[in-house]
Amino acid sequence: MPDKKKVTGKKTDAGRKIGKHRSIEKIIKKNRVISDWLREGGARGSRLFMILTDKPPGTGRKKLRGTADAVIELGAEILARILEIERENKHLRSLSLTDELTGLYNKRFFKIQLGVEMARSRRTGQSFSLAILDFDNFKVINDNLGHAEGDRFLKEVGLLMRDRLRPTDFLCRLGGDEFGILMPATGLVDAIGIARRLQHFITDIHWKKCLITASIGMVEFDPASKADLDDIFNLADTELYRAKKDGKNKIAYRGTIERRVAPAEPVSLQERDLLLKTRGGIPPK
Amino acid sequence: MKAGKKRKPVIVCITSGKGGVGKTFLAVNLAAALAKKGKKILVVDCDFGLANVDIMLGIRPVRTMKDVVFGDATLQDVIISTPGGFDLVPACSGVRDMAQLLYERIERIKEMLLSLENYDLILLDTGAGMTEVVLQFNLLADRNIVVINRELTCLTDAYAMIKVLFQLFGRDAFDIIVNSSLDEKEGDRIFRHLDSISRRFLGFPLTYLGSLVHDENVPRSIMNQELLVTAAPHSKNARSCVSMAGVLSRWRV
Repeated sequence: MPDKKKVTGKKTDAGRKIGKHRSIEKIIKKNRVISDWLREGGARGSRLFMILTDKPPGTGRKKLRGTADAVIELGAEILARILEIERENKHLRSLSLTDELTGLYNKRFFKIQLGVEMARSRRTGQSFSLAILDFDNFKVINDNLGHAEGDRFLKEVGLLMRDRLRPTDFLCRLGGDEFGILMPATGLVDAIGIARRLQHFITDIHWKKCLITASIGMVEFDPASKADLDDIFNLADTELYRAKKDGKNKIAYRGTIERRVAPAEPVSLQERDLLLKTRGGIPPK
Repeated sequence: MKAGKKRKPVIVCITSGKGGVGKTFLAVNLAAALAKKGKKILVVDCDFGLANVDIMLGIRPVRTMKDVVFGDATLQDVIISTPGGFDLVPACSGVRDMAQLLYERIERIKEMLLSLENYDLILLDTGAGMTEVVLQFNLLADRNIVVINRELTCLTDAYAMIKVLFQLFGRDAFDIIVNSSLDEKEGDRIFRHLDSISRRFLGFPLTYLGSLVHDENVPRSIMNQELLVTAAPHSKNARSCVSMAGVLSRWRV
C-alpha cells in the first residue's frame, strides 16, 4: 500500500484538534466517504476546510496549513481510489429510478416508462394520456417558510397525490415542483377527470396558511402518430405553459374530447330498486 | 386571490335529468336573490331548442343564442338585462338544428363563456334529458347543481345524470336542491336517500343546498311572469332561495 500518509491538523475556533493521528487509510478501506471522517473529526455543525494532496507539499506546506483546517497528504493510489468511489457514486445516482426527496419515480424513469407506453400503445392501438403538473405558487412556501418546509411540502403532497391516483398510474417528480403523471390505457376524458380530482385536492390544501394551486398540461397519445418521446413530452409541456398563461389553477389539454356512445355502466337494477325503495321518505299520494 | 386582479366568474350548471322539476324557476330566483346581494350575475338559457327563461321573466329578446351560433354575434352582443337585476343570454325556440349543436359550436360558446370576466357568477340553465349539449355544459361548469323533487321518476333520472357525469367526466361533487317537497323534513329525507345511494354505489357523498316546499305562490308567480323573490319576498320559498343564494355567493373557482 501507499508510501506516506500523514494527517496534520491545527486548532479550530473551538480549540479542538482535528484529524490528528487519524488514519485516512482505515476510512477508505471501509469504503466510507470523506464526509464520514469529517463527522468523526468535528463537532456537529462545524465547518472544516481540508486540502487533499498527492504531492509532498515541500516548501508550500506551511502556506497550505495556514489556509486550511487540515492538510492531508496521501499517496497517489489512495487518491485514485477516492476518485473512483466518487465516480461510482455518481454513476449509481444516475442509474437510480427514484427521486431522492419524495421517493417517487424520477424523470429518468418517467422517460423510460413513456417510451414503454408509446410502444405498447402502438402495438395495441389503445391510447394513453400524459400530464405534467406544476404548482403555481410553490415559491411562496419556499420564500415564506424556508426551503426545508418546501421540501417537506413536496414530499408529503407528492405521496398524497400518489394515493389519489389509480394503482396503474405513474407519478414521477420531474424536478423542482414539477410532477409527471402517466396514465396507461386512459383516454383524454378519463385523464381530465383524474387531473381535475387531483387539482381539487391540491386547491383544498392549506399548507400553514399558504393557499396552493396547480396548473396541469395534458396530452393524449395517438397510437397512429409518428411523434417521438420528446415530441409528446414537449406537447404536454406546451399545454402546461398554456395553463399557466391562462391564469393558473387550470387544466389545458391537447386533443379533442371524444364523445362516448354510452357510459361504461348504466344504472343497475339494484341501484334502481334502492332508489325506488323510499323507506317512507316519499309518501304515496 | 390577489387583490386588484379581476376574479373569474364561478360557472354553475343547473341540471336535473327530468324536465319540469323547476330548474328554470330556481335559476331565475337564485339569480335575482344573488343580484339583490349586490352580485353581478349572468343567466344563460342553455336549452337552445326550447327557450324558457325569457318566458318566465316576461321579456321579449330580439337577439338570442341563435345569432351567436349561426351568426357572427358574440355573447356580449346578445346579453340583455332583466327585471330581476341580473343579465341574461336568451335562447330561441323552435330551431331544430340548435338542439343538435355540434361539438365545435359548443367549444366556441364555452370559450366565450370562459372569457367573460365582469361577472361574479354565471348560472347555466340546462334543458331536460341527457343530450350532448347538457353534458357538455355540465362539464364546463365549476359546480353542478342537481334539482330533484318528490317524484320517483325524477329521483331515478337525477341519479342517472349524476352517475353519467361521474363516469364520463369524473365529476364527484354535486349540490342537491329538493323542490316542491311537502315540508322541510321530507326534503331532508329525499336528499339523504339519494345521498346514501350515491355513497354506496358511486363512492362519494352529495352536498345538500336546501329545499323548496310546495306552495301556491310558486305557480302563481310563474303564471304572472314574476319572480317569487320580488313578488312574495316573505314567503318561505323566497327566503329559502335567499339563503341558498348566500351559499352560492361564497363559492369560488
